[in-house]
Amino acid sequence: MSTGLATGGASARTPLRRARRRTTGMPDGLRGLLLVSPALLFILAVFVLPLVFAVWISLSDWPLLGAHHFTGLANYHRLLHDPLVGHAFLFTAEFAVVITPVLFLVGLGLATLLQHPRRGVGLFRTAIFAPVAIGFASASYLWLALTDPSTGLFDRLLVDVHLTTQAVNWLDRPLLAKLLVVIVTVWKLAGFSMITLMNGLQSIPTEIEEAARVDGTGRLRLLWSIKLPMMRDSIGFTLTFVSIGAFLTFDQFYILTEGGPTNSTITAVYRIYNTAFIQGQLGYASAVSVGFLVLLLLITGAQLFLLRRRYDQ
Amino acid sequence: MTSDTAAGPARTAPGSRTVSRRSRPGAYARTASRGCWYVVSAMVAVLFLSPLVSVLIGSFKSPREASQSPPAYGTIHPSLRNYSSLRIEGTSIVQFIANSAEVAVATVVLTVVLAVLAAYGLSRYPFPGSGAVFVLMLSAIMVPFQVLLTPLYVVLNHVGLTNSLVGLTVVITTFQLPFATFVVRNSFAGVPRELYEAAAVDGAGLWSTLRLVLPLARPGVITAGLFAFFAAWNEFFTALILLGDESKFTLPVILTTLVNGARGSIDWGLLQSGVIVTILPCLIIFVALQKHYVRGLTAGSGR
Repeated sequence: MSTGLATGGASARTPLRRARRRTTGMPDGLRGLLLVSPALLFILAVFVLPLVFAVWISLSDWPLLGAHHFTGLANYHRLLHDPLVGHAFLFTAEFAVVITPVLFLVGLGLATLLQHPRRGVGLFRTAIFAPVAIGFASASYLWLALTDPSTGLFDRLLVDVHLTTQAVNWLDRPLLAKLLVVIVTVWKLAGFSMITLMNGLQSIPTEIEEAARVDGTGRLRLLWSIKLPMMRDSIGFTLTFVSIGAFLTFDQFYILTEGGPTNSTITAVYRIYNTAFIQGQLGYASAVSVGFLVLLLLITGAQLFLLRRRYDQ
Repeated sequence: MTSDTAAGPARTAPGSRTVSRRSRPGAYARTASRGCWYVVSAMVAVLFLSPLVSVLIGSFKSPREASQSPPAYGTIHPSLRNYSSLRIEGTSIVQFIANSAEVAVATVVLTVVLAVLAAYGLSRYPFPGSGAVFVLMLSAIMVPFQVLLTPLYVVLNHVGLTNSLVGLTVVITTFQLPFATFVVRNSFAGVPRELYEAAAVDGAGLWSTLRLVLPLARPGVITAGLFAFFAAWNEFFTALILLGDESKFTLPVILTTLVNGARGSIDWGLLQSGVIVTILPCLIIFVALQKHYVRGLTAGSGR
C-alpha cells in the first residue's frame, strides 16, 4: 500500500526515518493519521454517518416535518409489496440493460474509427467528447429545447430529411419518451466510452495487428478473438462505469419525461426522490434506498467478481 | 498506420514502410479510403456538435423567431435579448452564476487540499490502519451519494446546512475525495525517493518537504481539481434537494425554474441562453485542459 515498496528499498528507509524523528520527534504513524484526518472526517460525517443513519431512519415512520417514531420492519414489509417500487426497480434495470450495450458498441465503433494518429484526429475526438464535459441537467434542457414539437430544430430536421412526416411528440408515448432519453444519454456519454475503450485498443502492440494482417485474418475476426480479449480491463471499466451510471439515472427522466407518460419512466432514484421529498416519507424512502443499495452492491460485486476471474486466467 | 500517399509528405516510421509498400496498385485505393475516413469522421463530429451549435444559434434568436413554428435553422435578426433579460423574478442571472462559481471554486479548493494532505499521509507515513482508510475511501466510490441523500438531508438539516451553498459544497467535496485522493496518491508514487532523502538530509520538515515534491505531483492535482470542478458546476440532484431559496440556486436548478415557472408557455429563447451560460464555462475549461481530463479517465480504467 505504501509507495516505499514500489520505489525504494527498505535500506533507504531506516536512516531517513531516524533523521526525521530527530527533527520534530513525532512518530511517522501519527503524522500520517494527522494528514489523513481532515479527509477522513468528511468521509465519516458525510458518508459513513448517513449510511448508518439510513438504516435507523428506515426503521421509523419519519415524516419530512413533525415527530418520528420507531416502527420496526414495517417499512421493509411495505417495500416488498409495493408495486410502484417494483416497477421503478424493473424500469431502471431495463434502462441499464439497453443503454450499456448501446454505449459499448457506439464507443467501440468511434474508438476504432479514431484510434490512429492522423492529421485532424484530435479535433474529431474533441468534438465527440465535448458533450461529456457538460452536465446531464443542462444536456437534458438542451434537448428539451431541441425536441419541442412546435419550436424544436431536431423535430424539423427529422421532417426535412423525411425520417418522419410531421413533428414528433416525444413525450406522448412511453416508447418515444424512452427513446429520447436513450438518444440524449448516448449523445452525452459516447465520447466517454470512446476514450476509455480507445485506451484499451491503443495498449495492443501494433505488431499483433500486422502479424494478423499478414496471416490474412479478417478484420472482424481480429477484433473479436484478439483485440477484445486483450483490452478486457478497459472493457470492464467502461461497462461497470456506464451500467452503474445508468442504474442511478435521475436528471434525464426528471427533466425530459417528468416520469411520464403515465408514470412509465420513473427510475429507482426518482422513486426515492418522490417518496422522500414530494410525499415527505423519509422513513420509507430510506427503506427503498437501503433495498436499492443492496441490489446495486450485489450487481457491482458480481461485475467485479467476473472481472477478477478473467484477470486470473 | 500512417502510410504515405499523394496527400502528404512521408511521415511514416521506417518500420511501417514494408507494409504500406507491399502493393503498388493499392496506393490509389488507400488515398480513397483516407478520403472516406475524413468524410465519415467529419460527419460524426458534426453529428455530436450540432446540438450544441443549434442551441447556441437559438440563444441569439429574437423572441418571434424563437417561438416560430416550424422553427428556422438560423436567425435573420440576431439579438442579445435572451441574454440581457435572463433573470428570474427580478434576480439577475449574475447572482446564479456567482452561486455556481462559489460552489465550484470552494469544492475544487477543498477537494484538492484535503486530497493532497490525505494522499501525502497515506503514501509517505503509512500508519496501522492506513490500508483500512484507503479501503473505506474506495467503498465511498461503490456507494453512490444519490442513494444516501435522504439520511444526508436529515443530518444536514440537523446542523443547519440545508438550503446552504456550504452544505452543497461539503456533500460534493466528500464524494469527490476518494477519486481525488486516488489520483494524487498515484502522482506521489512517481516522486523519486532520492528527493525525500535529500530533503531529509537538509533537515526539511514535513511542510517544506511537501512544498518541494508537490510540483512533481502537479498532473494528479490538476486532474483531481478538474473533476471536482465539473462535478460541482454540473451537480443537479443534490442542489435540487438541498437548496430551498431561489436566491441560492445554482445554474442547473435555475434552468428548472425557467421551465417550471413558465406555467405552460416556456420561453425557449431564454431557456437556450440559460443552457449556453451553464455549459460554456465547462466547454472552455474542457478544451483548454482536456489532456488532464482524459488522463483522469485513463487512471480510472487502470492502464
